[in-house]
Amino acid sequence: MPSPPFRKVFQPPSSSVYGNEPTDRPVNEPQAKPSLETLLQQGDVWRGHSQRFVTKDAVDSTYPQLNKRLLNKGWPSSSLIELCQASPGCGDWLLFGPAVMRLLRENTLYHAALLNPPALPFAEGLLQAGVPLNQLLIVRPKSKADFIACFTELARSSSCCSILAWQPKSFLTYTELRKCQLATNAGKGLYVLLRPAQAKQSSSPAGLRLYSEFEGQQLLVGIIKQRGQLQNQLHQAIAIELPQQWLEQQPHRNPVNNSTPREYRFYTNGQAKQTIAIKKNGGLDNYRGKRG
Amino acid sequence: MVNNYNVTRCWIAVRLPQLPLDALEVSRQDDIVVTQKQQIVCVSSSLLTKGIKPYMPLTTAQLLAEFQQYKRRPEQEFNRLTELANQLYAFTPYLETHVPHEHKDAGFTLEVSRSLKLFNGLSCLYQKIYISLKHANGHFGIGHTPSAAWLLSFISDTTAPSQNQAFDREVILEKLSLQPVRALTLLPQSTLSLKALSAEVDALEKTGFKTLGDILKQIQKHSFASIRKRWSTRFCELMSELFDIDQSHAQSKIESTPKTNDSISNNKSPPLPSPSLFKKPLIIFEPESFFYNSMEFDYPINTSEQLHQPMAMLLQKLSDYLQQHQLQCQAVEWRLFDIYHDCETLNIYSSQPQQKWQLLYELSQIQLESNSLPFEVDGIELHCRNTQKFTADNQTLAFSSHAHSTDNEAMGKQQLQDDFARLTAKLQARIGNEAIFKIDYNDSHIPELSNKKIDVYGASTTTVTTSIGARPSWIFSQPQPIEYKSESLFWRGTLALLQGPERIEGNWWDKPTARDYFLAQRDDGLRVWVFYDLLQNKWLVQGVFS
Repeated sequence: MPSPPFRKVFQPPSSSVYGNEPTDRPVNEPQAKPSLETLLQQGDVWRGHSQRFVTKDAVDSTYPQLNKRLLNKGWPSSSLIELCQASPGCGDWLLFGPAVMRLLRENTLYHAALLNPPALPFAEGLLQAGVPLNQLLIVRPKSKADFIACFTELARSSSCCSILAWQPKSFLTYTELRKCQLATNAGKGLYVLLRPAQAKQSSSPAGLRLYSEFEGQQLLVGIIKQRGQLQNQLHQAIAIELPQQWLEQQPHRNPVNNSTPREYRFYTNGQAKQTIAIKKNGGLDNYRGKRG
Repeated sequence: MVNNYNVTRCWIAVRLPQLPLDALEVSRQDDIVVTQKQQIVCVSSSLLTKGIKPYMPLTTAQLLAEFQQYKRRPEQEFNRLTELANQLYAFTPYLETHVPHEHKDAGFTLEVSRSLKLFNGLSCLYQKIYISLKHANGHFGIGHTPSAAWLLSFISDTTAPSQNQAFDREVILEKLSLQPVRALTLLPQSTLSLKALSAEVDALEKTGFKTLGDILKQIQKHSFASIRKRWSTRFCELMSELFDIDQSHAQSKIESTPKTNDSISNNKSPPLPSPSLFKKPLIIFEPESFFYNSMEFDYPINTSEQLHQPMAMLLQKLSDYLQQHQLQCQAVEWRLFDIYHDCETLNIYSSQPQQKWQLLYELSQIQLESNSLPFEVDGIELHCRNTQKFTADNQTLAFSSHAHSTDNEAMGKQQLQDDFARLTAKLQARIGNEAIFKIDYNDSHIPELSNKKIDVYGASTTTVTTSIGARPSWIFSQPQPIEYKSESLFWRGTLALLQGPERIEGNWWDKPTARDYFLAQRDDGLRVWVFYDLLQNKWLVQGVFS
């Protein structure tokens, strides 16, 4: 075996900081000082009412009633959007799915990240909705610290055009949310943090804060906070119609209480197979779904 | 001796019949046999006296004596051979390794003519090689061709050439002449298959050729054409290689002016054919190269931040090494030492091969952040053993404005790909490979089986077989049980059925499944995908529409 070369002695400077160590290639390039225009473009400097006139990049939400109420006619990009859901799964894909798909279609090398999702995304359902699975990245951090680190890494990456992040079980502090908000300023995509309804009460540095809940055949979306808009300008909730597929096809007989005979169309592995009738007293305990 | 080291080739063969036993690293004193496919490939010396020989069937050997039996370990043998080859590289770069074979010994053939001056002649060089490989129980042979040297390594009285003894082709041919033709089957050659060579040797023996000397005499008397007439071209090639004689008639003719060699002139036999004018190109051994560099500090370092700068400097050196050798690497190893030489190892992996140092540096920082320093670090070493050849990506040349825009797109594409590689590598270093993945559609009727996790670089399906019903966006890999309370379904709220049923049956060959699926609405408005399991007679939640 060839013997290793002689060990070279490294002499660090007397201080613990190595910033002035002469190297042919510096480890960290010195960053240029940001100009006033750059700072104002970031949008996190309070400018009173004038900020509403600053146009920023936005992603079309595909819902005209929602675009009308959002300041830049769409979901603000490079900013943290917070959605407080009445229950997990309350309109996340419905609200942000079309905008995410629009971004993914722009460049096939872009990726959308699902950070700490509450369940596994269903490939068949997403393909049915037109989501390119190849561009969907699922990240499952183990702890809150990992969650913050993953969020900031994803937000700063140019290959990640959108993040849908579900808050970990432990509550996110204002400082942690601020870290996420700052990371989103560095990116150019759509960054959404999904939180439980309780988080509505606490303050947050997010640029846009929303809440969502189902009501009847509609999804109600309310704006809690929108940067550049006063609180008293926030109007009542916006109603978004649910997809036709989700609605009740016919008034469904409740097998428990309704004794009216009712026809069921049975499908076996995608093919209409047979029609059977469940007759009187067809309670759930009586439902045995005869095998065809 | 003619002083023409640069012209006449000189080969030393090192045969290692005991390699299978060496590779096992067991005591040689015990009665041990190494077997492969119920055949003995190597025997410890104590068993040789009891009549057990290599390449003997195992059942026959079991009748002769009692012994411990080990299976052959080709990987370990190969590692051992590589180790020995690296040792021999100190003597000559012209080194050919012969890997272990079922019926043939492993070993090396070394061309040493260019090393003779450096090592003060053949005798000194031979002694040094012999001492270097003493522990490997090698059998040595010297010849004017690699095949001749290999065959001569079987002669037990082969001793080191004396200081004044010249390397003489004629003496070697004389020794070779005494060898039986059957010895040809022991050559590590690829010209003929063992079966074909055995058939040729059988034919030779039937024709009356008993020794290699008989073949040589035939060539001397009647030129090579007489051999070519009766035996195959490949066999003639083998003979030509063994004796170093050209096959062409003009060059294999008997020399007009016989040499004044005593042994030949006394016997009044025809002179030997002249050596071939055309030499086979030599095989150059390339030792396994790896990167190693280290640093020692003037005083112990106790915070990981202080290690960043030395790490960056070492990684820059690695990057230079990789660029100079046109290599790239996927993994590096850091070794941290304290003043008592305690060692802590950090392994850094990247999902994509790297030639630049930046990503490896960032990954090293992440690893350092997640693991606190176990001791005050006095020295640091960087090892990179596994490298691969650098594969450069093609870029279009920007001759026109259109090409220029295409070039920009290609660069943007490359940047995005690099950025994604960097992102995934960083995330994987922090949260592990399992925690970052993609999903794909698996063609199955059972919903939870139709979903599968794939690697971040895996390709996902883009189409799905059309299903008749609505499918949710979230799925529970383990369906959640639904409680049945007050004649209604309850899962974190009361459920009311909206659509269905859609029957899904399948998987009869593994775990038969029959389910009726419904779209249900919870009291808070959430749509869920529930099913009634016809076999277990219970309700479960499969997924959530969001």
